[in-house]
Amino acid sequence: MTLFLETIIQGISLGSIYALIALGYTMVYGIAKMLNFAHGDIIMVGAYVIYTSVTMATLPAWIGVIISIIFCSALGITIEFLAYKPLRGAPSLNVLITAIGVSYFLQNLALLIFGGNQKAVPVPNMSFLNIKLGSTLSISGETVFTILVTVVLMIALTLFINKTKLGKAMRAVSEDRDAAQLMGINVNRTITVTFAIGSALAAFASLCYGMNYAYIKPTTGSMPGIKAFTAAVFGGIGSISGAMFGGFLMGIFEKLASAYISTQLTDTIVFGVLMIMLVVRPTGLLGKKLNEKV
Amino acid sequence: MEKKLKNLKFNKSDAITLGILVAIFGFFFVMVFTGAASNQMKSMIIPISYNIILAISLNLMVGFLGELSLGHAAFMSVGAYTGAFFSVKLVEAFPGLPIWVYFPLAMLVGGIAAAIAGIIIAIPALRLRGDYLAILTLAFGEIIRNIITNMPILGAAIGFDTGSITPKIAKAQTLLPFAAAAVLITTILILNFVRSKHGRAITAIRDNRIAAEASGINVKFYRMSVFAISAFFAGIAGVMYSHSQTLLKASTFDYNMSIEILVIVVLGGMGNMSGSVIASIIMYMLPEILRDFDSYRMLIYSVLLIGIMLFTSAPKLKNFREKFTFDNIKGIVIDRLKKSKKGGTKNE
Amino acid sequence: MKRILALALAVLMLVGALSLTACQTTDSEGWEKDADGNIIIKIGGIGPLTGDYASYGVSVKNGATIAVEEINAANPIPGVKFELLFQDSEGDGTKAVSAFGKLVDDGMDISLGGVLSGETKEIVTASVESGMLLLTPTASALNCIGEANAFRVCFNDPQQGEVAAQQIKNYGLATKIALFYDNGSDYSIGNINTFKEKAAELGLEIVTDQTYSETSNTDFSTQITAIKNSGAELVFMPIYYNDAAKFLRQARTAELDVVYFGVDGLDGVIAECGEANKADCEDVILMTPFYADSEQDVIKNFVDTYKTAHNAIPDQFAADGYDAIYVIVEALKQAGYTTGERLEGVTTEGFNAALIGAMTNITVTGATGTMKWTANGETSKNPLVLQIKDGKYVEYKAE
Repeated sequence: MTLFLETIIQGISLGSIYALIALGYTMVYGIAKMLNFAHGDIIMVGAYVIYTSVTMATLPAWIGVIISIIFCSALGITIEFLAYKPLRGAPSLNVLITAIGVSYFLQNLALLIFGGNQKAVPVPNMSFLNIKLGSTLSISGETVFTILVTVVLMIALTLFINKTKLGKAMRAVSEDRDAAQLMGINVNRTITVTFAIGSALAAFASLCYGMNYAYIKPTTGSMPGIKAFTAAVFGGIGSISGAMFGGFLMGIFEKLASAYISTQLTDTIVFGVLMIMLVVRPTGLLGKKLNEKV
Repeated sequence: MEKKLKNLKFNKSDAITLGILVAIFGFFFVMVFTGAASNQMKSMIIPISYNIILAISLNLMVGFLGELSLGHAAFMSVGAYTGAFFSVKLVEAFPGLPIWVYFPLAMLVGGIAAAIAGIIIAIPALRLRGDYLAILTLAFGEIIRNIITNMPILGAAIGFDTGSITPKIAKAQTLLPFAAAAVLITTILILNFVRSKHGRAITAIRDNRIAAEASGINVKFYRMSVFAISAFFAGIAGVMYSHSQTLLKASTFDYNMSIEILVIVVLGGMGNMSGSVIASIIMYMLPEILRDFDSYRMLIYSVLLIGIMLFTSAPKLKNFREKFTFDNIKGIVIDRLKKSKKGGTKNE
Repeated sequence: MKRILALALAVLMLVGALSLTACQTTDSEGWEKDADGNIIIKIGGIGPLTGDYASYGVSVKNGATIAVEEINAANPIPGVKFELLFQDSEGDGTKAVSAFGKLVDDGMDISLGGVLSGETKEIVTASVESGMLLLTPTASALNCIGEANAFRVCFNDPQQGEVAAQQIKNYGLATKIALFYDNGSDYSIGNINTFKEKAAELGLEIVTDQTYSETSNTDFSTQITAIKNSGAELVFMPIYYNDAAKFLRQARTAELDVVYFGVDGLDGVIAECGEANKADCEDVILMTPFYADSEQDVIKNFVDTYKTAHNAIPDQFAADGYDAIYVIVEALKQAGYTTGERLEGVTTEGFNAALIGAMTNITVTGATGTMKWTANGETSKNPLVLQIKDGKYVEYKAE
């Protein structure tokens, strides 16, 4: 039983990272209707920005985090402007290939600048948030922080989408781009803002990733990115609460699989579930029920 | 079969494709068998050959069916391992078996195994399109890799030793005829398929699935066949790979490899077979010749990929593109010539 | 577009044909000589200089370069100078074979094989035709050599796993052992298989067998919990330093209180953890034939030169590359080529055969210890058992 609870806690810890990344995926996919393959790599960039500003420019960690958030948003807008905007209206296959190109570009640029060796991300210490549950179980401060960040961001995003004018514009663009345009909504600007928000979410994810796993390298973002996309699909892509739900479920599932079935076949199990999910219910668990499409 | 051969359907651009291939392999034959080829060149012939096969088989899927597969390396690995396993066991059972017996057989076995893998993935893929399909193939590729890594019979992490089936002496001379035959046959078969009734059905599905379905085209059947055919040839490429290496490792066939093949297809032009052939040669030879620039290679690839996608498919650049098509430039040049000099059009 | 491509191809083929066929000189008729009339022996190395494994290739290249410079200055074989040619493989077997072809075209006389095991296996096969001596500094998988002309400077993985079990027993470090390794790495598996056998023979109990893979190498919490629950006293981790740094970070956070025992792949973990996580490496035990803080003259000398030249502390890869060059010189001397004159008129076949024959008759003491070779290319060394104390290696002493 202790093992089970412990595994669940580990799953939640891993899942909170997936959830945070999945939030960004679901935002961009929901509104721009494109799979931003480079989202995971923006997380990697964010982590390197924290690394550079703290280790090289010797700034305090929290300033590094703020710089990282600003940098990632700017990067998201730039990528959108240079690579995705000209392709609006082109077949989705071509957009996807471009996104793969962007992902490759970011990875290889980081490889050239920072080299292939992994770097330790300096992050603020969170041990004061540690929670002890009985004698053996405990939740680390990093996990608590990640869950807090994810929940707060999810609530903020939901409020933003539902209450603000820009949020409403986003929902409109998501529903029907042409109709939105006819109603006087600036579609291009709305999509740019979406990318800025999505990339800022990636910066938060890089902070939490750094806290939990300490080391980064140029390819760090791709696997969590793909798994988080899986999580977003699992929860119902386009749905904010679905992304979070999917992320947690995915983390717990992965941990249960590796604790009780096999650590060697974890990937097979996780991706197998993705395949089944895609085929059986491509709209995801919460895709239809909650009409919270952003 | 004979009837089929008579009915081979080619157009002018296919003739160019085949012409290029014959020229290239003719060149290779002359270089290798006169001993003029350097060791570096000899070592590049087989990789170039299987890259050509990989590129044109992926082009069938991406360029003609219009579906992105990120699992092409997985099909290749299925072919590579099955073919190598078959050959190793065969050589074990009949020591001294000449390569011309087991290599073509292994190609067939590996190709069929890969085609089966293709059909397996096609079943769930029938329900999906676009981004979701790409992710599905990616997931499939990772699963295949993960499973092979955990199969002790295929060497698991240590790698599958194919030393007994790979020629050690005169490798290029031994393998070149097989490679040339495989590339030419693959190209002829795929081109013929594409130019046939079936090929037109597939492009119709790509251009408008609903219209195609309404016209009575069996979309499911055709999508499944393209998956199977594309995978079959990727499997053959895999067998060529495994019979020219001495150690097979599952980690080689990761999704980066699939992307490298995709880069070749995009660079050569989606739906353009001769483009794929030329691009696979350039992409393999360029880093070899420019070994010094190697650290920038992947960066250049990615910029190329983005640039070409923007150039070829950005809606706003449509007018710009049309201005610079070959025929257009030709037209402008001819116009100029006409104006400056009477009768100057003859050299067209 | 198509025609432009076709044109580009034609140009490329032409350039390729010229550049790839131009250099066809072989040394069977005579040796290449420098301006002073010294024979130049070309040693060709291949390894990943770009990509994920670049740090290994660069280390070997740097180590070997230093050795070549030292030897050319000391002139142990009058009338003979050495030249190191080094090509990038990107860690890929196919590319490594092309690189080998290029080196042969460039007139390589002796090959350093590859840096990684997978690529070395392909290079060894490719080298059979030329028959030249191949001495890989660092390729450690058992199956990667195995032709008559191939030798290695380092330990092979199975040997190492066996010695590790023996040392754990000798030092009385633990009786209950947990295993933690990369299930997709030939290095890990090579070590683990023999470790298990030897451990069973020595009565050491393996209480849990925890693995991870290349695609799931970020979160180790499941494995750490399992190790914790298994009651292990020691965790044997034959993995490379980068994954080890991540594992140690998480294990320390989870307060996994065991002895951490690694093999030579762990060398470099101190630098990897850096100042920020320096405490993670404290008390970790590892086995390696080389350590930079050693007091031995040969090592001190090498480490000092390396520091000046590359502004870094050499790792074991660099030391293996360094030793490989000295081994080659020793083999040349043993084969009777003690002066440049004695090389005149020697055929390529004779040269290769003499060198390969000499390999089994030499004993070399280098930066990685004293080495002798068997005919199947293996060497035996006594690896040191070291412990990390305060960010430095010290020789382990049982408490």
